Amino acid sequence: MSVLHLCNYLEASASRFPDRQAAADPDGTALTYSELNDRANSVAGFLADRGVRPGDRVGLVLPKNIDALIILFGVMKARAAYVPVDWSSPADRIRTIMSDCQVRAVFIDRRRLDVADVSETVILLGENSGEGSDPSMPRFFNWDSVLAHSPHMADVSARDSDDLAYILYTSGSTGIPKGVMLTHRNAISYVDWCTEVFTPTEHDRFSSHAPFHFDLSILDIYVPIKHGARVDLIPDELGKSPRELASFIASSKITVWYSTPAILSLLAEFGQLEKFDFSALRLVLFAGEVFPVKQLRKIATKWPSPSYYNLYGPTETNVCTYAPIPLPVPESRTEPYPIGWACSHCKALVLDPDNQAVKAGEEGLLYISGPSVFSGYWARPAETAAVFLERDGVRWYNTGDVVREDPTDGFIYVGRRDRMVKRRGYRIELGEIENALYRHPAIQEAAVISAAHPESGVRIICYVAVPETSRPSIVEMRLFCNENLPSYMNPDIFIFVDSLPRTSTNKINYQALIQMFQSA
Amino acid sequence: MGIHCTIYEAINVAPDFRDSTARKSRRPTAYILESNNMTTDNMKEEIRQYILSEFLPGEKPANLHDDTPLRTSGILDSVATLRLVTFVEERFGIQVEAHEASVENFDSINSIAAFIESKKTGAS
Repeated sequence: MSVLHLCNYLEASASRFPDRQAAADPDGTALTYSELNDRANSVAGFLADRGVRPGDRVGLVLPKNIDALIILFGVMKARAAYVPVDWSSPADRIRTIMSDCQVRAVFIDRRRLDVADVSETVILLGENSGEGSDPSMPRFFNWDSVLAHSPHMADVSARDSDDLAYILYTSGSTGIPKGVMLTHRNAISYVDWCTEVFTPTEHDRFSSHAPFHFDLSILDIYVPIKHGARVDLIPDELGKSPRELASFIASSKITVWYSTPAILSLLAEFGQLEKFDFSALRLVLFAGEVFPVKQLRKIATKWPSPSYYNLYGPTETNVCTYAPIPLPVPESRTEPYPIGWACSHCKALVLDPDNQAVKAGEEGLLYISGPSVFSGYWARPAETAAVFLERDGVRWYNTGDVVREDPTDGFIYVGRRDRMVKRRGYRIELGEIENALYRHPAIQEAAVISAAHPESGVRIICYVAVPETSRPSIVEMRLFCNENLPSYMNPDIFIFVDSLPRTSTNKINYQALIQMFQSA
Repeated sequence: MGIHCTIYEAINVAPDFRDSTARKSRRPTAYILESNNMTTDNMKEEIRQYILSEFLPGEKPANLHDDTPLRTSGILDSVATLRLVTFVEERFGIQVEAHEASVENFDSINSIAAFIESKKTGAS
């Protein structure tokens, strides 16, 4: 591995390229490497003063911008781990996450003062954050005072690559988020693989489209920082406006784009790409869900010059297999592209239900081992043990994804055995949607299935058994789901039935529902 | 597309709603004629039909009211809104700036219709 700690990347680049730009906000605010490094050191000094010790966790409830980036490095320079969350999440979810991993400090945007009770040390950012701290809230600090703090890094010689770097929370199957613990070793072994395959230089411009709580951000941030390149941060609103986003990618002369397939589909359809100059773009990377071939063909037609890669890997391993996509995409192709071969820092195994390796070409569960595999779920030893398999002294992680190996193309993704789907990069447990539906007073039975769609990727369909006389309208169902589920889980289609089909053992017959839907 | 196609054919311009330069130069004549020929009720009906067919398959039209909240209720997410904006641009011949595709303007059939009207009379 090239370094012990992610901060070493920043420090090395600050030494080699102090005046090169490290990061930029879309409004044009930019920081040089030495500025980013110095400010991160101040954050580390402040945190140490407030009692944040190596191994502690520090939360972020912030929109994505340069300040948030400074904080990521500042926390790690204190040898603590950062815990980013979607700052627009419901307060309950934020509180659950922050108390689950017992954050020692939290950086909060002033618009989320409603969650300021999660920690004893709260640093406020955003409008008016230059004002003095409110004497009635002594544990509140403002960002300006943090930046003015004397710089101090926790003992650099004590840095260990097995130190926790960050915790990324995903949705658990019971709806309670699970914290995926990732070490510096996990991140660095992956970043080093990125160096090998994508050969970045200090002249590259990386986009940062994914939020910091998605593991796509690891490539977005740490690969450019390692190489002295620049990362252009894309905040949420810009990231969802295809025309503005297209203009931004072109005018920023982005060289490396990485995102979920969904945003590439939006760019192809709504971005008016023919109006802009994308000659700087050399790499298009996508991950997080299956890319419908029709949509991939669209973007590849608009952006024919870059090299395209399909990257696969759950948060627990980050990217572990990859497939280059040869262009052009043949007109006749409908089959999604493979997830390809194991990355050089990973090993892959395909096992049958008895944990024996399958015969070549047969389907089985994909297991991954190597230095990028996570250490476990925070405070969940049973759930952690449940996803690992010991084999010949090696710890293998069960991805839960069913694959088969093709001798030419590598691994082909087949599906899952459980009821989790990926839509727009989010993990969605279909059972969680069913639980929410059952809370509706009129609904007697509910079954949620998913179906592939050539344009939107995955659609979520709810079959709901309600007697005809008491059926709510579909509009009411949409309103109900909006109130009872996070918005990324909203179902696409509601179908009312008198009763749900059952198997011979009286369980809901999901296969029959899938067939009913596909033949409709 | 009825009478609206006829108007564009009459002034001999190919309707390319994605070309903003051409739109701006065509705007005055075409839109004055257009607004006299479409009532607000017709407009709302077309918007309702589009939303029903694209985003609420299987729903009875009567359940989607003019004031049903669309964005804040989750009926339209950000992707659906983009599709709706494109439909509105192409169907009613207006150009929607990114900041105008807001919850404010697109949260109900009423507000969408009002927004279209204001764009066409040049009020905004």
